[in-house]
Amino acid sequence: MKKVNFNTFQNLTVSDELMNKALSIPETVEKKAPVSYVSRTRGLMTAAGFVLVFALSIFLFFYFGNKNVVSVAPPTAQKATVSTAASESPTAPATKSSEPAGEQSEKPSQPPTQVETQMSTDSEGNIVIITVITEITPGEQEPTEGKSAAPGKGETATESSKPTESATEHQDETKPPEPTEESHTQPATESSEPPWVAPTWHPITAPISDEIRTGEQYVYCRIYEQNGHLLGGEDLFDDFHKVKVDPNNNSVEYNRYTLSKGAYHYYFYTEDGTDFYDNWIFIY
Amino acid sequence: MKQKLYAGLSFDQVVQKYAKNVLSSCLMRTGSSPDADDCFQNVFLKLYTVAPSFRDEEHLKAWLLRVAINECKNYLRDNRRHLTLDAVRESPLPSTDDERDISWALMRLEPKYREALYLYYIERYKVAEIASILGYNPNTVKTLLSRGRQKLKKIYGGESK
Repeated sequence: MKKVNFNTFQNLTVSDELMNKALSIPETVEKKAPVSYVSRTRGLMTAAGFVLVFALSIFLFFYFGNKNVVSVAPPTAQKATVSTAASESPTAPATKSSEPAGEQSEKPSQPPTQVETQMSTDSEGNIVIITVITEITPGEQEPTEGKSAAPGKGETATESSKPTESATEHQDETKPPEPTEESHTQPATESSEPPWVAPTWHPITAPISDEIRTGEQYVYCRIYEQNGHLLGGEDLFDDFHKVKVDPNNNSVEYNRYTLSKGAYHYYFYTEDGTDFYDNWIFIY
Repeated sequence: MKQKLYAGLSFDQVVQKYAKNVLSSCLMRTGSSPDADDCFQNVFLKLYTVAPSFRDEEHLKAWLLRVAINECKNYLRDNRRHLTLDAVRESPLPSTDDERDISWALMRLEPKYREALYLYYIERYKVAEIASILGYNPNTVKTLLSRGRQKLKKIYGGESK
């Protein structure tokens, strides 16, 4: 009797090619792993981004949706700050850092204005811009208040009541007024409180020697911009450059020109053209 | 990179030690060398990716054979291949006068008998182990083995005449 077996299966041999394929499975899988890792990381970052944007939008909705209109307190007369709107005006004055505000109160000045703008949203989510323009003159400290507007949804309105008088005077500043001695010696206001005075001029002063103080009736001043441009014309001895010498004062002051922001180099010189003083002034 | 271990064996050791068993079971189930090769790779790919923990090497071997049989079932179902006996018949081992290779006869049986007989006679598993691998009741395995032997005898006897 013959013995049976299953040698086809029992003595099966695995080819080298097949064995190598099986042995290289870990290497193949590990090569593909970074791709799936990148994909998973990208997916997580995308999901995190969506969550972040959603949370931010919720926060903004509740923050701006519930914020009420903020009332604007009228500025006080003692407030000695110039608003941004005022300082950005080309004819608007700026303070000279070397002089205190108290000295400037004695100078002739334009009626100072103060502009404050505040933006907020009301309970319905409308944007409200409140502009307050305050004109303060010595002895009259009641501010003229602008109007706040509450437009419809999505609208933005600004309503400012700029005094006509003030605007006219600002235009006049482009033409330098003739300074008089009275203007220099104008007494302080009668008000008990020192009035708020916007710095209109930038007095440029120079010390003068006794020889000039007693010997000269007028000296002159010329101002150069940073780019070398001469302010006020090329006739260096016309009235624009002329400065009256006070024999009782050991300094002269030139205040004909309103300076905007920048750096300026100025010279004082006598009638014979001799420079006796020069300096820089920086308007911020 | 930390090397994975399967019952104390590295992946390469597992492949080298059980490649023949896995390929044999795949060939038994598919009856085709190319199909068996594909299933063979899938088995070890699953081993590496799933990486289950094994109690011992016997557990590992049983897992490999069970996965191999299931892989072949899925493979044949997905590819809708018909069984062919060419792979077995084209490479019969030379028989001596005292021995006869009846692997070809085994491949004539229905898969359920073939699997039971294969695991019993070739992989040398006991009835309880075959029941565990195939997911059958042990009595069912006994029935499959009994009927499979009769069918095998009939096929072998008929062909050998």
